[in-house]
Amino acid sequence: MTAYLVAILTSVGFYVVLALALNLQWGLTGMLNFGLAGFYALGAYASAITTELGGMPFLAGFAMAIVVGTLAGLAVAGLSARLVGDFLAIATLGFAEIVRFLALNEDWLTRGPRGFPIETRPIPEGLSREASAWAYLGLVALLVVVAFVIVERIRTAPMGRVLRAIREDELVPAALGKDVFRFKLKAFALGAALAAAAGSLYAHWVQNISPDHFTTALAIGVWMSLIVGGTGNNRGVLVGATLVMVILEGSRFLTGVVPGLDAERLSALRIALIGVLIIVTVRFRPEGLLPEPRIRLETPAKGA
Amino acid sequence: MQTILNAISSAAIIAPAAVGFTLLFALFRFANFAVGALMTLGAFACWTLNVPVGLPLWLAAPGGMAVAAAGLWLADRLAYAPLRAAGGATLLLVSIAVALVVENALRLGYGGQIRGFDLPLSRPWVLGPVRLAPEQLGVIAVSAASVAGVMLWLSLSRWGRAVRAAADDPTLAAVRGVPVGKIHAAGIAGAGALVGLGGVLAGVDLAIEPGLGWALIIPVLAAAILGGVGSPMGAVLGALLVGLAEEVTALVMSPSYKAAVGFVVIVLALLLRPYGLLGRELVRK
Amino acid sequence: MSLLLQASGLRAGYGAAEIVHGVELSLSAGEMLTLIGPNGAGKSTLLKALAGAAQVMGGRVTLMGQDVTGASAARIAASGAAYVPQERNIFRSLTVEENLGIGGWLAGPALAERRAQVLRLLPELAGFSRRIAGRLSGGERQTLAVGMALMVEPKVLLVDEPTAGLSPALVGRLLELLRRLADEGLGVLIVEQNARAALARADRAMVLVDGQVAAAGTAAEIEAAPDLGALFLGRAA
Repeated sequence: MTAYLVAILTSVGFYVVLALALNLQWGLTGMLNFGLAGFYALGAYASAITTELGGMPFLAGFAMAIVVGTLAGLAVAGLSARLVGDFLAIATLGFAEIVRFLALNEDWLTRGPRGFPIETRPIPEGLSREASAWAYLGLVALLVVVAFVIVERIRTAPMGRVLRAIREDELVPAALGKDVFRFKLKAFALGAALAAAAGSLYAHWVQNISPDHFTTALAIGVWMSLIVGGTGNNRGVLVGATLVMVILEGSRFLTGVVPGLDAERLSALRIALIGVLIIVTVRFRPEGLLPEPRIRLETPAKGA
Repeated sequence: MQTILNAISSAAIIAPAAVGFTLLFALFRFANFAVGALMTLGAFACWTLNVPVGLPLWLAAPGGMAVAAAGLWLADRLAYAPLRAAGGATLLLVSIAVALVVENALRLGYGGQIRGFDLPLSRPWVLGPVRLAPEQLGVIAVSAASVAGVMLWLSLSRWGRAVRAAADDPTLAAVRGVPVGKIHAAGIAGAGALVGLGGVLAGVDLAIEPGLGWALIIPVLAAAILGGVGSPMGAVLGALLVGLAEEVTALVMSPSYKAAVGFVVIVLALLLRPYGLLGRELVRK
Repeated sequence: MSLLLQASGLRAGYGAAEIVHGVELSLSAGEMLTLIGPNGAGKSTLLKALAGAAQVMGGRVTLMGQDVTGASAARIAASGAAYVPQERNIFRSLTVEENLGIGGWLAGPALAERRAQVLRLLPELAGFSRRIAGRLSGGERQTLAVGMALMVEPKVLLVDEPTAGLSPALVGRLLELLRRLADEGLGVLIVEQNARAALARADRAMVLVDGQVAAAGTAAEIEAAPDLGALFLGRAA
């Protein structure tokens, strides 16, 4: 049971990092990224290729993941950040699918659908199964903390104010002389780097990655964490991701309880449930469980 | 020659749904991702009438169209209409959620098995270097007729013109006395039926399973975006180009990349010609 | 002259904001009345309130003796007052012909007859009836917008800044067109920035300042008023 809980908490951690990345891109900046799974996959494969094919240590793979994630984020955002909201969403979704197709078809590099086995681990060898599970949870928790601090600091910093202004209406910060494009690029690339870092850690945790791990369904789960928790609120993201994981995992126990529910139908039921929850939340509580903290307005200078 | 025929054949499958998608975008100003899942719904409804119930396909198809239209109407009532003021991004997200619900409700009800319509086995006709199956010809004919019919309706009939006017500027249409609410309902019925028909046509050619829509939404979107969202004529042209691009890719690269073509087309089209071949900048609310 | 449109004590605005504070106004058949005043005085809001496109917060509006206070835009249109918005007043993706068809939606079976009548009033429309409205020039576009409004055979025309963005030559032509329509027996109420050009053609004028009528009279009287001239007609103060 403890082992199960540790594993669940570890997966919650990956969700949280992804949700924080999305909160930076969408929650703060208003950039629709449906391609989060693509950056996550890119980080995982970059890291795996560096350590397994390149024979380098984990840290090199981790660093490579961040570099590749950042570059991909810059490229995607640079090419498409000028697109209006929904078209950016489609372009990013396209990016994620193309990453998945490459992973699926270029098996000389990615081992394709059979899966990429990963030996290298970031934790010392010789630990017991249990100890290494705990150690891994610690590492993921560390990544969560780092990601949380980064995104939270950006949110409260002057940059966060500019990003929110971009989200509300790009023309306003542009009129105030802010380079909107540059800010969007930064926010998107940083979010992509965070997702890739999570991907790297994930790859070395599951030790076998295949394109199936990085589907749009994953991205939808992350989106739901954000929406349910409270878009724009980093604490809400923690709550949302945990809740989503509890729903996803908890509904597993329905097998056997409800007659006639095989594994495939059960998984269908869970995903349909996520869909219903998203619709209900957006309609009845669009601000999520923990609404975005009210922005402190700067007191206008007297006589301005 | 065979490549061109295959391209026309895949264009015929996606064109009605692309026209439906583009109409919905023009009327409601958001990319409705549930179009793919509604195609699947139409295909399953038609299959139910065709195989277990035993109706001939030409009778079952209108049933599939009606169910898809009803599904779209229900989604609109429950999910989209209350959020009409919320903006394209929110509605896009909600439409993905609707797609998940529809797709997985189908999986829950029908299971994941692959199904097919009850079609008589037929031998393809061989005309010189070209092979053409009778079903293929049927798909092309039905698709062309339906798309042409919708286009004529939009440009010649009083209600069709009112749909275009309401898509262009709903406020002004209301000022001029056009019943915009009824026009929206007509648009949903028409677009839903087109999408359902697209699902039926896809079901003739491809295996019917709950994930059918995810594979189709991308070429449908690509066709609509390439043609210029909001332009039905553009959607047809886009469908032809996407079909051609898919077939050429399958020919010169590997067929496994065929499915990625839609995405590449979308990304390129968005970057190079954001308003598409026949599109123009749409006024956003 | 028969009285077509009358407003008394009219207060109007959007949401909680009242912009028009108690305006008296009347418009008779064959008469052209122009509303002038500084930016933000509430001219457009007043016009929209009369057309049912802004919220009426108090007072009374009657259209040919019928109480239409707070009625919807569609009802007011059906009752005989056609409103021409300032921007977005045509369907850009439809042809001129199709625009007229939508304009005459309420005419039903009488559509062909109305179209013939509008083309008689605005013969220039016939010259470009097959073109896409979005590709028309500014002057042609405004003519079409007026033509669309005329399709329901209104008694009253409410026109919001029809000459915005037009060249001086076109301003004159468009105002002449509206004058012609008034001479045909319509009541024409326009909001106009080109105060001098409008005064030259209107019968009467009202000056609106801060949502209230600052002055009203014949067009000649308003043009002659020295202080108003300084404020709104662009003479050096």
